[in-house]
Amino acid sequence: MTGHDTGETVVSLKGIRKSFSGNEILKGVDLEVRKGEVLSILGPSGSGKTTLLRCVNALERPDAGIVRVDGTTIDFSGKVPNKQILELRRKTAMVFQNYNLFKNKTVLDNVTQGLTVVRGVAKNEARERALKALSSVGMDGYEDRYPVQLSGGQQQRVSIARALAIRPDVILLDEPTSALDPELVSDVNDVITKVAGTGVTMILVTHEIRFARNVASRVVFVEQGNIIEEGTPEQVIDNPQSPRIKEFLSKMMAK
Amino acid sequence: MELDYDFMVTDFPTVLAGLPKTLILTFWSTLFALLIALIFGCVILSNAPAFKQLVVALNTFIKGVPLAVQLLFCYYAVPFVAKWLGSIGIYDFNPRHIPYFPAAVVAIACNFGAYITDVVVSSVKAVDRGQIESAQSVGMTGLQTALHVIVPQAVVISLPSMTNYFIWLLKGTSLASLINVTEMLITAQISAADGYQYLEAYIDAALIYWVVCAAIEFGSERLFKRVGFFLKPARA
Repeated sequence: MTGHDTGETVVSLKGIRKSFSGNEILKGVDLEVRKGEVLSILGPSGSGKTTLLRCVNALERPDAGIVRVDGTTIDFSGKVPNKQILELRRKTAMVFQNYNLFKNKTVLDNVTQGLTVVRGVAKNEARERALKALSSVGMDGYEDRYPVQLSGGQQQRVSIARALAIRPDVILLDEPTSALDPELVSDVNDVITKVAGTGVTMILVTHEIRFARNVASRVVFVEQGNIIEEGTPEQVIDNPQSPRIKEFLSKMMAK
Repeated sequence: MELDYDFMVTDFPTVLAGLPKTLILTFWSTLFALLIALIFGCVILSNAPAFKQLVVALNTFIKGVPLAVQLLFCYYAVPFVAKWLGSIGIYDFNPRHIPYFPAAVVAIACNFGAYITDVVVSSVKAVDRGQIESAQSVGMTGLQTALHVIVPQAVVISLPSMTNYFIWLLKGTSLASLINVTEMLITAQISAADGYQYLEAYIDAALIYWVVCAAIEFGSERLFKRVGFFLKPARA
């Protein structure tokens, strides 16, 4: 466990509902994340865990429910002005399964874009912050490369640097290693562990139970659009109460 | 019958002298075609209810009518429009100098504008969805996303198809000969009239069209290799 839980709530979700073409994927989920915490969301495919994560920065707009990040509160039951969505997104950063680095930009520009374009940070300062972030993920010297010239692991590390440079209230990680070649997974996991150690708040959706066990300070298990169990990794992963979780974990651990 | 090679050689510079007019016609037509395509493309992509249907309908109509018909339509419409512009004082109308060149530009630009609209729309749609989500996740507005991510990528994606239409347009300007615009084909035709050596003059014209188009294609391929490298699929 590497989180630095301080007790102050940074992210709060209340009654989040989301349907896709009549299928209810999220059935009124409540979730709170405290500052410095590393929360891992586990669950089978199709359980709604990625959708839940994407509701935090409104990449998926909930049909109903309240999302709060830091001081920004949005009630999705009513009409939501675009300005509020932008405000919410500017307090968060996301690391995607497929990295999604801007293909047309160099590594350095990928990291500075969020600062210069979005937050009006001066070029020099943005550059400094970007270089620092790149160095913290072990990508110094790659500033002028393009994403296509990097391995998947390197791209994902740049994408973590992009998230760090913004200094968001929370970093959302959506299965950050599932598109990677197996031998590159541990590189990226090491970087995530290191970042967790610095007290950055993170929400991590993953299929890697062992990694979640090591890095998370708290785990929630999602099934069929509900959180069915929640607690420390010891509680949820080592001694789950629900038979459904036991079954899922035994399958995953057998791999 | 034998080809008059001597004439083919001596006539070459004469035909070549028609090339600038063809290129100027190509330039203005391309410029306005791009303008039309950008406006139409934006309307279609914006999904604005009534406007989108209107533009799509207009688009299919233009594509469904042959360029030759559009040229002839513009040719016969020009005197009316010019007279009308003259009557409201915007244009100095002179019946002895009817502006057929602008008529050709309008017809060609509309025709190719409709085709290039499809290129604009499909290129924007070809930008990876993940790129847009990535921009949104760092907090970019719609405009910032368009400016920094979508447009730079879509422009590169569109380059090969744009080049094809551009070459097609350049060759299409030869149809403007139908409506008295003295571009390269008509220049060749006139130069051959005295000795009835049409075949030789047309071969000259064909050679010039071919060289120009091949050069454009070659240049475009080089350019695409330079700017399009980032589109290669990423490694795992």
